[in-house]
Amino acid sequence: MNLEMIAAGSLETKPEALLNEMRQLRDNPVFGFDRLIDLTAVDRGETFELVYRLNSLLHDRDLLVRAKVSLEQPTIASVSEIWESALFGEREVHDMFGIVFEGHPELEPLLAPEEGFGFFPLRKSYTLPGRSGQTDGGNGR
Amino acid sequence: MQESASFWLGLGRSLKKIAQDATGSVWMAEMIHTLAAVVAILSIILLSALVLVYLERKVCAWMQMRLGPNRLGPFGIFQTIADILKLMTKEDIQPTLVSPIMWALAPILLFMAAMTTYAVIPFDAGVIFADLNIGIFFFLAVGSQASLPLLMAGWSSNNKYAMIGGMRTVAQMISYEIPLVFSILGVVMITGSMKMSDIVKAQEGLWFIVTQPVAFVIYIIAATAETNRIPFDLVEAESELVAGPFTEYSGMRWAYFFLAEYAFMVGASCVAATLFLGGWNGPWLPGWIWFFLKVSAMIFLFMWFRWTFPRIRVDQLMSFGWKVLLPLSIANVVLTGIGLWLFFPLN
Amino acid sequence: MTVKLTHEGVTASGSELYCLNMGPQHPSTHGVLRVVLELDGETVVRAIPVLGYLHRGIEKLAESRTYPQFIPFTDRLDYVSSMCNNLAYCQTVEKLMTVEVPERAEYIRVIMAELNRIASHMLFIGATALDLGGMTGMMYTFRDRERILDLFNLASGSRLTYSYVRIGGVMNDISPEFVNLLRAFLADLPGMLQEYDDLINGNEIFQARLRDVSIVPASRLVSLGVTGPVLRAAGIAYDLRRKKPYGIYDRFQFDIPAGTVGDNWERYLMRVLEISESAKIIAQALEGLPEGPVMAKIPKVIKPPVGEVYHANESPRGELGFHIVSDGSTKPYRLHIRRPTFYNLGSIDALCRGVKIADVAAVLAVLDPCMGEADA
Repeated sequence: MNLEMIAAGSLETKPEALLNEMRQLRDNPVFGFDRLIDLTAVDRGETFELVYRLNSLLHDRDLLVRAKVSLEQPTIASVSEIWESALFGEREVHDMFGIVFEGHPELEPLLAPEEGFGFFPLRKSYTLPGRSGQTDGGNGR
Repeated sequence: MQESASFWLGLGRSLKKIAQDATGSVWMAEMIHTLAAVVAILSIILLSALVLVYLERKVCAWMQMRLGPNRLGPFGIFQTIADILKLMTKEDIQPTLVSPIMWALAPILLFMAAMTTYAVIPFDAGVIFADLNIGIFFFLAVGSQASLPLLMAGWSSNNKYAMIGGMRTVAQMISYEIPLVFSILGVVMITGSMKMSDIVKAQEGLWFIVTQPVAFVIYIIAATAETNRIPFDLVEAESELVAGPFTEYSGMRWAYFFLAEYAFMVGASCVAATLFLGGWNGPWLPGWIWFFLKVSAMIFLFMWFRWTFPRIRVDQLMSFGWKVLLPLSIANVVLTGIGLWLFFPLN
Repeated sequence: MTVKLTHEGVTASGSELYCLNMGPQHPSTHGVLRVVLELDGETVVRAIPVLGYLHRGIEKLAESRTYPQFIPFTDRLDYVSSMCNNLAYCQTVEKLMTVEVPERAEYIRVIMAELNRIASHMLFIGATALDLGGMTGMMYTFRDRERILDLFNLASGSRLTYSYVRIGGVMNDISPEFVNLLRAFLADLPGMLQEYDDLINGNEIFQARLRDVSIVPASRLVSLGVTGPVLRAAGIAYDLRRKKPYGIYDRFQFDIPAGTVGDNWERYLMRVLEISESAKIIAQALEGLPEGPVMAKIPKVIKPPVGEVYHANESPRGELGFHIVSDGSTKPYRLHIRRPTFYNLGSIDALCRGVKIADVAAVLAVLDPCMGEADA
């Protein structure tokens, strides 16, 4: 991980190396990414792709960090001890996708009710019931 | 100068005469006279509450560039009647976990305290239910009873919001009673007596607002705090505590609290008019009309405060009461004493 | 939910901790937000926000809607500043499709977005006054906001949720009547702000309630992901309109108000100052408004190429971003919304520790949350 990869604007890490690399990204003054702007996930079929959007106030730079976890074992380290914004972001991803963030102090449902939805809404395996879930176009142009 | 031939006194005397002729016993006539006076005072309280509920909404609307109630009757004057009917026909809900006796007693006690203070208010020369020689002291003593029923309501409701409201009440009302008393002390010192009619007579030449301006300001601030009006209404702060000690009361029970609040506000305005604005003194018009005008002016002032200012926070309230108002009121008493000694030396 | 108390037993002062629930139904105006407070007397020891009461599954619904069909959904995210939401979404799709928006449409978009910022901030001033007990203040700001809503009604047909900004331009052109009314409004705006100054800002009690309350260091706010006026009050003058100008914002002169202390008062003041700045932008946009079409020539069926894009706007509440993953079809494969209120609410615990109960209402007010956006 060096400045050229940072300058490219996006990089991909392995889930095992995530915590270390994220810590370096924040603590190394050359990188200086002190903000986690957004944290989300995309269901890519066989894997979940976690997308971390970092921003450096110091160097005025953005960085996208991706990490893929498998469908069967969707666990990854939590970055909440590095950036506090991950506290809420990871809870939302957990509610919507079922990804477990190890090390998160309070992985309770946030947008879901207290017992959870009972399913993970944003996974592609879950289809919305009724007309809302129609993906055949309706009369959309 | 008013002669003691006020319209209301004359009415009272004729009533006594009629009763004496009808029953033939002086004692019975006295009883009937006293009863009529009690009914008169009660009707003043209730009528003023009736009018004030409507007026507050209209004044509020006028200050907020709205119209206020204007559906029921011409200019919406029947709005209060609709409100009363609604409150009277509401279901009487008593939550299961309240302490029943204390919970039921609280509004009654508050209203009783409010009502009893009217006994010493001079509406006109001689038109006073009981011209005690501890007049203003009686008013303050009975009025200070208001903190206890609110604490009772807060505690017995078994509700955290109510409890917080009750605690705040005690803190607030006790803190502001002392500056209230000291501000009145200046007036009593100048008059030399606590009798209400003496205080009004002493203002025939000059109203006390001129000689005691600081005391007047302190009185208004402390009275706003005692009657739980904005900016000191954190006892029932809507946006934080829902309704404070009144949270668990609905229907007629809540109406009692509401009536008691208005009764206290009118009572405080009457005392301000008596002590600082000359009471029933005034040229041409009968005394009780002057009194009515002065009290109305004070009530309008209280309403004006309510719809202009935001709410103060509880620690700021305490700090203001103890660190600012109290020293100011004590300084006022000391200066009044010095002034009296200089201009009216004892001989 | 059961809240585990921070410590068992009694506190140092000998009193017990207790939990108070400022529930989803509350006389404070800010929507269905629930805050569970752990209190020591009147002082807050811990504040736990509970969200989700307005969760509507918008991100999932996006996957079964075409790109133009999703625009009304964006209206209802932060319903108080619909134009800004529409703008952020449409600009994201245009970035994906590399569409060039006509000049006149760009100017109209700026006018609408800044007008909506003024409306949102006016609502904020009124709601803050209401939460602190000065109900009259709310009436004044809402009366003035009505003029902006009338303008929007004239332009788009709706008062609150407009769907006015479309992919490739705006819905329809603005009439000369709109421009005249807008100029009249801008002329009256300084008088309105002066009125708020006299009644609300300048009131000593109001200032005493907000000054020096809830000071949090800027580094903590940055770590929490807080954006918008709350961050600017702490001294970090970060505004996306200046740092990453979108649309034609780089053509306008305006200041970014920033605070020094970062207390509630400065968080409030930021938004008041931003109203004047937005008025400047609108005046400049009206001067430079060119003639021309208001909609680009885009295909009837919007099918962006395969790709992934993120674009963010400065909404009245902070950084509002849309992250769209497209698989080449007419519907997004994944649409994620970076909602400013969501992250701002994550800072409630940091902001509320050590303040009194009354200040919690003030903190919630100056955070200016909009639950439609927080819960999505």
